[in-house]
Amino acid sequence: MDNRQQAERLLRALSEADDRYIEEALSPARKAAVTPLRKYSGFIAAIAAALIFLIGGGVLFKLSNTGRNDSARPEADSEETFAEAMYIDAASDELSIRSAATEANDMTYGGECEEDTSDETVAECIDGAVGETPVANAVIEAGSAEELYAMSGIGADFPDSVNGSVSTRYYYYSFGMIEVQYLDKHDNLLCTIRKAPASEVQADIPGDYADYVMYEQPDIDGLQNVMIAGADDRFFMATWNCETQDETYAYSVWYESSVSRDDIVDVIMQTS
Amino acid sequence: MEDNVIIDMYFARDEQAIGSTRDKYGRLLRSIAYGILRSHEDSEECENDTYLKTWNSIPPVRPASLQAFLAKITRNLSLDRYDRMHAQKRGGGEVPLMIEELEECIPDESAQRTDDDSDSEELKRIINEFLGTLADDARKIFMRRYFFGDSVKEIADKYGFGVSKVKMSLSRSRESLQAVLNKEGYYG
Repeated sequence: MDNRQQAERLLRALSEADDRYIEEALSPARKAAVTPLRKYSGFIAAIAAALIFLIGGGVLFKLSNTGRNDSARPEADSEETFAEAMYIDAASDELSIRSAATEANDMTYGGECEEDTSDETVAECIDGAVGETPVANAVIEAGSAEELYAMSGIGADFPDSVNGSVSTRYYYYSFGMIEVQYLDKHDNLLCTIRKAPASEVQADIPGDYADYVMYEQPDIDGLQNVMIAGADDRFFMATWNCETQDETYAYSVWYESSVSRDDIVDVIMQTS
Repeated sequence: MEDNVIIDMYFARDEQAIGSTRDKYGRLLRSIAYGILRSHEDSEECENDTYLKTWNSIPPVRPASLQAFLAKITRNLSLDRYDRMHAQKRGGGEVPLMIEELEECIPDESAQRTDDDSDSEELKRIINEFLGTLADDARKIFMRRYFFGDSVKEIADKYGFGVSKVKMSLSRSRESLQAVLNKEGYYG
C-alpha cells in the first residue's frame, strides 16, 4: 500500500471519529472575538506606522540640532511621545499594543501625573496600570474592579463569579469600554462581560459577529433591547441596554461554552 | 422535534421519520456531501441515499447521536460517490487536496506495508486518541477539514480565524498525527 492509499485509508477511517468530536465540530460556530481595535487594526497600524515614521524623523532632527545623543526626556507637552507601536503576534493572531515609548527607554516620561483630564493621563495616573508611559488608545488591564472604575469612571457592577469561574481579569479600553473576563482554574476563559456607554459602541459591543441559529428577546424588567443568541435552546451571547439617570449603557455577555436560558438571563440580571 | 422521537419513529417503521430527519438535518447532510463532492446534484443524491440507509439501519441500531450517525453515513456515501466519480475522471473538489495533505502524516516506510497489516479498529482507536489530545480549536479545525471537507478559507470564515492560522493549526495537527502513528507503530 503506497502513501496515497494509506492517506485515503486515513481519510476513510476518520468516519469513525467519536460522535462527540463530530458534534463538537457541528456546534454553532463561535467566531473569534473581534474587538473594535482588532476590527480596525489595519487602519490603526497604518496610522501608527506613519506616526512612528514622523517621530523617528523628529527625534533624529532634534538630536542632530542639539548634538546630544543621550535622550533627554521629552517636554511634557511634546506630542512626540504619544506614538504607539502595534505588533501583530503571528502565532496567536492576536493584536497587542505596546507603547513605543515603553520599549525605548529614552522616550519615557518621568515625573508626576499632571491634572490633565484627558483619557491618556487618567489612565497614566492609575498606579501600576501603564507605568510612566502615556497611552493614546489602548487596552489596559486593571488589578481590580475598583481600579477599573477609577480608570474608566464606569461602574463594574458585575457578578463575582460566572459558570464556576475562580478568577477574573479587568480591562479598560481607552475609547470608553470596560471588560471583565471570568476564568477557570486553568486560566481558560469562560465568559466575558462588557459595558460601555451605548453612544460609544452600539451593536459592536460583544465583538461577536457569528450568525447564530436562534435569537430571542426576553422581557427583563428595567432593561431595554435584551437579545440572547445561540442554538438548540442553548445560548452563547447576550446584549442589552440599561438606562441610568445620566447615561444609557450597552452590555454584552459572551460565553465560551453554551449555557441555558435561565443561566444567561440570571447573569444579565446580576450584571445590570 | 427531539432526536429520540425521530428514532422511535424509525423503530415504529413510521415513514414520517424520514421527513422529520430531512426537516431537521437535510441542510446539514447536503452541506457535508457538498464539502466532499462540490456538486449540488450529487450532494442531493447522497442526502437521499442517507435517508434510505438510515431507514435500513434503524432498527436494530439505536444511535446515541442521530446527528453524528447521519453525518457519518453521508460522509461515507459521499466518499464512495467520490471514488466512482474519480474513476470516471470527473469531480475533484477538496478530496484530492485532503488526501495530499494527509500523505504528510504517512512515514515513508509505510510504502512497504500491505493492507493486511492494517487494522481498522486499531486505526479508529488511534485516531480518536489523537483527536482527544488536540486543543478544542485545533480539533474543530481538523474535523472541519478532514471529516467535513471544508476548505481552509471556509474554516477561516466559519470561525473568524485568519487563513494562516488555520493552515498553521492543520500543519501542526498533521505533524502530531504523524508522531502518533509512528509511536503506535501503525505505519512505520
